[in-house]
Amino acid sequence: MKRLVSVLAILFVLAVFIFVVNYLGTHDSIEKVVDVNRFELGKGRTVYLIGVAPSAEYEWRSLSEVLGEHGEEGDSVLAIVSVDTLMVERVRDMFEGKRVKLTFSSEFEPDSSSPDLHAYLSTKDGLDIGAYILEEGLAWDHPEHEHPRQEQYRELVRKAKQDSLGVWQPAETADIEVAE
Amino acid sequence: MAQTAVAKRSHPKGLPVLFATEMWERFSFYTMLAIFALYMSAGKEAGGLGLGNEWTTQIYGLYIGLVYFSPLIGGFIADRYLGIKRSVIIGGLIMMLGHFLLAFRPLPFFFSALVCLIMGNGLFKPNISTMLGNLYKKVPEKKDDGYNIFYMGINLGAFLSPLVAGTLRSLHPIHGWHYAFGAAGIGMIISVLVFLRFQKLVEEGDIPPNKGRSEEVEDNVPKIDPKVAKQRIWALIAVFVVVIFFWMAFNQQGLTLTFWANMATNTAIMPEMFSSINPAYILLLTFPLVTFWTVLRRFNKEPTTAAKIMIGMILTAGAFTIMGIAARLGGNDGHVHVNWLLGTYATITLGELCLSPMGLSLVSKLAPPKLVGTMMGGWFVATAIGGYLSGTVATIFWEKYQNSTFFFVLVGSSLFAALIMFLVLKWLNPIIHKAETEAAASAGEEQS
Repeated sequence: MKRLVSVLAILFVLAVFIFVVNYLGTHDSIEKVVDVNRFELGKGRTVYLIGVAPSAEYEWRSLSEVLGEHGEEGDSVLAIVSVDTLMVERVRDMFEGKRVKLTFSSEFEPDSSSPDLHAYLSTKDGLDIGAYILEEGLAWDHPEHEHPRQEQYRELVRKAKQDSLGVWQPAETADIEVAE
Repeated sequence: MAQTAVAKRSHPKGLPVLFATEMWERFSFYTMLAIFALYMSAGKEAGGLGLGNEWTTQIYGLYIGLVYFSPLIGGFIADRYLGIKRSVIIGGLIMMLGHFLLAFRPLPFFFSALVCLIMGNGLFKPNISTMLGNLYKKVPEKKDDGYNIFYMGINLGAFLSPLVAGTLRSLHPIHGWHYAFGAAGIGMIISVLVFLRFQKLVEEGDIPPNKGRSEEVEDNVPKIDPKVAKQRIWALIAVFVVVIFFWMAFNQQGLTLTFWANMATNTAIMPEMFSSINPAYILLLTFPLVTFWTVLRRFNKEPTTAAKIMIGMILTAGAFTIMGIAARLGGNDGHVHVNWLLGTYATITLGELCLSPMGLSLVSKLAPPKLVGTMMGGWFVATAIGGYLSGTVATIFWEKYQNSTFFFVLVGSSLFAALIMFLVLKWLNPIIHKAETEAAASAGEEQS
């Protein structure tokens, strides 16, 4: 009987252990906001917000355009042409240092294999960070990848657009710094 | 009568002594190993040796190779010249000296320290395992359980060491290395002191050396027919071949399973942290497994030691089947839930517990008394070959093939080894049974 109780106690500890690993794997703090959709976490990993597009715009440019005389004619690379630093700053002010919960989706398939994570993030009080960013017009939604909250996110973007918030402000009134 | 029954049920008093001795020795070994490569490659301004990456990897590989090979020589020396107990003590003292030498920075001290650690490990490691088996002369039916408990000690030391090494190392940017090496040295001192203080309790586990034995001692060493001895040695070699496949798959934990944790697992935990999962599982699963065997024993259904090794191989195949399915589900480059990895670790750890301590137990049961140290060394060499092959297999196949294909290759190799084990079981079981019956008969004689 004593032995049985000991075994059950150990199996309980085992269940707690698995729970803790799962908990630690889905809870962390935002160490650094790198972009509106890209955060560095406290434990050291990088996470991309599902359904939120980066603020940087990329275009195919020739190497000679990017590197000047060091580039060879004919080759081209995907180059960052602008970064929406103001929007990044606003996201940074809101969420840097905050404890967050990561919710992964098996339905979301990123373009390529990488150690970086893709997840929905929510704060302690349940605020969906991706939804908040789109609702405030701090970023575009990601049109290329299907994901479970896509409809909800599209609706938020439509409203932000309608209200001319953030990135949806008319160009002449927009208070946006564009990095060269 | 009642007292005899109670005595028969309990483990020998020497078990806690060897458990603690081995636990502290492993703590010392893994604490040193946790910072060994970093210490060599770190620049002199950071308190390291500044040997650079190329020298570091070469020295590290050579050191690990010799550490695993040296038990064969240490076992032979114990059998022939020193005896088991004396080898453990001398090995422990040499390792203590090695850790002490690591406190000095000049390279001659550093390399002398490594030589001491290799030599000491060679004398210590196989012979303490042999000693444990010899303690079970009166309760041979408990030997498998004893090795399971002993194995838990090994893993308790291994589990604590990276945490201690990391913490001490971070205390000071330059001297932190030596705090950690110091902790390793203290671990070894405790190990040797525990053994010396309680050596009377493990006296029964000693076998004097073959050379220079007095007639009285010679009479006490069990004799076996040379033909039977040959048969047993071949049986052990068959098991060694099978376990090479196990270690090849098992050691993927530090390689491809870590790559997998990094590239394909949905978790915020850093991949290197997963290396603590296996020792944690060992600590948690040993007791339930030992209880499970005890319950089966009561119903006369406990598998033989060789059958447990086969079960271990099947569980290993099961573990990599889980990985293969997970890789397929994730489309081979997508991320999947962390529980796939946790399930794999749990299954492979159960496999390890069925196989690794049972292998030590089997060597102790089958090895001819005059060769038991050498054969125990053979077990560690098989472990080393498996470890070497794990790297080779990962280098050849991991990048070339899809992840799921790689994992299914390991399923195939593990099932192949299980099949070999199954085929030789009919031949092995009577040999083991005979050895166990002889051990039980001699235990009965001693008690009467």
